[in-house]
Amino acid sequence: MEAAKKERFEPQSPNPIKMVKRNNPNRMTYKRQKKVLGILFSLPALVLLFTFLILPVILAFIYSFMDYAMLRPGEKTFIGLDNYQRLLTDGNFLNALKNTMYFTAVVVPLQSLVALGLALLVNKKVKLASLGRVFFFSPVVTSMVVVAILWTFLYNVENGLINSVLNLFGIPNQPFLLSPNQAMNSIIFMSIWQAAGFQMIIFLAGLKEVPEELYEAAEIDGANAWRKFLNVTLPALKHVTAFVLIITTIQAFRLFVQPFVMTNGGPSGSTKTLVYMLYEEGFQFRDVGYSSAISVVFFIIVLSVSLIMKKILVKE
Amino acid sequence: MKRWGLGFLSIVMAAGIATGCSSNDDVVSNEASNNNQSGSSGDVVNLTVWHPESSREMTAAYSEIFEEFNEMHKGEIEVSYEFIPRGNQYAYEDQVSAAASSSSLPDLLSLDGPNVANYADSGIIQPIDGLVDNIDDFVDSVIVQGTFGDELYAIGPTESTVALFYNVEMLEEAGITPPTSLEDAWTWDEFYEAAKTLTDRENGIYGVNWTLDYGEWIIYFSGPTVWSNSGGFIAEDGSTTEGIMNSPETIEALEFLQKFAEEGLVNLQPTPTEFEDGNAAMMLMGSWQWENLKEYPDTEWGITYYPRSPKGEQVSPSGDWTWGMSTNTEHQEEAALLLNFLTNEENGLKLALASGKPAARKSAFDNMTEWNELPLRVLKDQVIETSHPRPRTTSYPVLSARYGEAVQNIFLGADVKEELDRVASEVERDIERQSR
Amino acid sequence: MNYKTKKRLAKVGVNLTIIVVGLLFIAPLLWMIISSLKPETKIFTQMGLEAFIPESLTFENYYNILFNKETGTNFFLYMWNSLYTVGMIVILGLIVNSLCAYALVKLKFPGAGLILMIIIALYIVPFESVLIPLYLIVNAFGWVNEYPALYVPFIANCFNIFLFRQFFLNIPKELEEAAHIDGASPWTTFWRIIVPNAKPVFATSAILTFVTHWSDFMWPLIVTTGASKRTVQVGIQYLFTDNNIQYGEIMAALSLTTIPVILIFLFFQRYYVQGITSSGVKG
Repeated sequence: MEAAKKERFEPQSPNPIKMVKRNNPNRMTYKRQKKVLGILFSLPALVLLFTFLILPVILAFIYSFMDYAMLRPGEKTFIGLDNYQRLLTDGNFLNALKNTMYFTAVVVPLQSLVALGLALLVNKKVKLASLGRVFFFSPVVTSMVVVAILWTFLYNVENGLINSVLNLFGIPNQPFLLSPNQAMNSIIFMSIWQAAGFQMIIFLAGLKEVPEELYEAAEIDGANAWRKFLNVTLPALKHVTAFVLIITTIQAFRLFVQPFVMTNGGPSGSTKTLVYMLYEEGFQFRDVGYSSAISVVFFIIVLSVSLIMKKILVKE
Repeated sequence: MKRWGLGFLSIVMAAGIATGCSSNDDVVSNEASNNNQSGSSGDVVNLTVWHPESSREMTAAYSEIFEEFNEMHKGEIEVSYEFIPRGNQYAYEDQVSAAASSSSLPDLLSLDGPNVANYADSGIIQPIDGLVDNIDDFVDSVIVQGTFGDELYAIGPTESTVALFYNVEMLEEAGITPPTSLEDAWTWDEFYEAAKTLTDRENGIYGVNWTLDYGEWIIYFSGPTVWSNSGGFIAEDGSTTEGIMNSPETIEALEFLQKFAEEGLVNLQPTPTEFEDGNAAMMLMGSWQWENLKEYPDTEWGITYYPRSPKGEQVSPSGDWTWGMSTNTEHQEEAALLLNFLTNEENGLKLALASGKPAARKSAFDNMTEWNELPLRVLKDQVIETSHPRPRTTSYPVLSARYGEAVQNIFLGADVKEELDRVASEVERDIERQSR
Repeated sequence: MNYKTKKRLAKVGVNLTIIVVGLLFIAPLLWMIISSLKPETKIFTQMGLEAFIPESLTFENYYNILFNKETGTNFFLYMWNSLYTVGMIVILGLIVNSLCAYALVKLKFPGAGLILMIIIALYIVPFESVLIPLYLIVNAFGWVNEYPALYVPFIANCFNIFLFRQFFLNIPKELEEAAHIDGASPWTTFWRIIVPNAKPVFATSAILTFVTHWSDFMWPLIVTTGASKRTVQVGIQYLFTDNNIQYGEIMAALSLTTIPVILIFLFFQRYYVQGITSSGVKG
């Protein structure tokens, strides 16, 4: 759509290069060549995606209308909307939805801000910039399962590192993962620590695409650092920021490993999430049909949220 | 970009092709020999076997047994065995589920006791009635755990239990003498009083330690407290849980355990080596743990019996990994031969010694002289006299998971009845779903 | 204060901030590395701040994992399996995904907009929900316990296509048009104009893909039924077995598995150079 819009405005462009192009007699063949090559270039990706992602998604969609016990693949039967009906009355589902929403709402803005801050910090031309990149990125390189085990020790009530630091400031031991009120926030804090480096790298790549000249021009106009950030950096990061926000939202919705390893979804269900639930129903309880129905609903919810975000972000 | 990209690509590809060809013959010999055999001679029966990865000693013992079997049946049967990681909680079960969904299960597979009902009911393992030699030699709990409906589906070489480990020095100092015979096993009150006396929060010492692992452990270690009080989890025929899971007896048993948490006699987030480091005076732990305690020579330890309810019987946990025959096998006869070899007296003894767990055959204990003396005699007594298997129901996965969550909440102060009511209603719904 | 000292002070401030914040970020990993150098029995007796000043250090945990025949397993083989399969995902993925994104942004074939929407939507699908159907498909190809099962399904990647697309949007039209006037085909334009101008995004894609798949556990576990194709994350699980968890060796193994990722990161971070310059636009 964006492409079409640009095409329409093209004739009014005063750019001399474009004028030349318009008069080029080869233009039609070039355009056709682009179309053919476009399909050709995207074909490998599309074939792979179809086989290993779209096909499984279609299968999962079909399973959601079935009574399908994982250990009895031969006895699948269609049961219409039964799985969805069950979902509506399942208190666990509503609780998981609430927890997932809370996590997403807190993590997305916070983590993106932290990531942007880190990226700006290590984008500076200072000696320690590249060391900083390694430091900030290092939590990302360790697998989430590992990090989760590690932080369970760090959050330990009596012996944990975090409480021993808090004690230095006169703060008494906190229950963290043992408290229904603190468990999710503890997971949020740890998740931001773990993943901020991921978004930092994307922002950093974006910052590298901002032409140096724009800053120089702003400097000549006497802009201070904050003005430069607002008037040069942020607009140049438009596409990247949209990308980071949408991606982080989707990733946040998929929260699973942290509560699975650290809290078992507890205490009192305070860290049970949607993906946790669909894993539990599908694998632990081996009810593929119900698990697939949760997947479908999850998909619809996240898709709606992403579409709304895209609308807001692309509107400019 | 282009240059290094292609360079790296060609190196990786070339190396991959190279190792892809060689990895079969030098790295994993058992797998390789299997592949070669099936190619060269058509008469050899290939059996595949899965077992979860466990301790190094156990893996070594099993490997030896399989190799010996291969040697005995050279040219006739060739076993290829794999040790599958258990990972975090249920990795092994997930792999079995995936294989079952594509009918590619191995001929023999190891499974945890409580999975027997679910696997048998789903038809992924088959009855082995009449295929097991000298079956009267097995302790009762092994047979009970392996039975679903009226048929035997699984049998294992070892048993397991949970007992009360204690720090000898600390108990002596406090003037506490733990019981040394089954008849004198502590009642709840005696156990509670001991824990209370031994707790010394000033010095960071807890009266008792029980690991609060997620997954299977919670029902395994706390079940006997419930049974001992004449409580339960589900009807014998698996038809209902309402009024059993949330019966007054079950509630009372968990209120007893809750008291330990409320009064700070147990650490809700213990370090993995709390007892070993001398920060807990007693520990409710699996029978395998005594082997690991050897690594801590500074801590002198003993074992006493699982405490019993004042108004009930002495009960102890039981249930270990057992062997089942998959319905995908085309070599029932050969698989049965291997199954019997794995669980015969000699190998049962070998595996028991390797794992530090009690044997499943009574006759194997004749050669386990160490187990006739304290402290190991405690474990043997429990296995032979008082062991109780976990519930046998196709709804077990839901029951175990939801009960585990409830106990977690109960220890953190939740209302016992409310929690158990919720477990009961969720399990009830699963029973209904399964009977649909 | 003149302009120069002000600038210098600002630089000192930035450096200091990097150090302080950086320490917060690596503290847990330092904890892991130091624990891996301690004897097993010492790890949990010193868990708080005192953990950073160990009384004694030992390489025993590393020796046990790597060289001890009795306690170790095929660590080097597992490491190679991971490097090989994740390397394939990264390299083939860079080509396949960037070409697809290029086609979507710059070649504008019919349906490109719709395809992009589908790709973003597919990114939402949590892996856990397609695991079983995907397993059935891979099994139908006969790939269970073969290398392709570990990398082919992950070459095409919605996240990466979307990532490339967002960055290619920033590449000025004029660059390509200039190339076209010079008689370059879209294929040449891609390699000569797009790729050199988008080094940071290629580096980003490579790093993030590597990191994501390096820590994969569930999938490699399910599709490898034998030790010969096991990846390192699956291979080291023997350390976690229920009845004798060796925390010292776990920490050592985990430390070892992060080294390749750090190296890859250092390698690709060289490409975080200024991408598009206006001189490029003019030329």
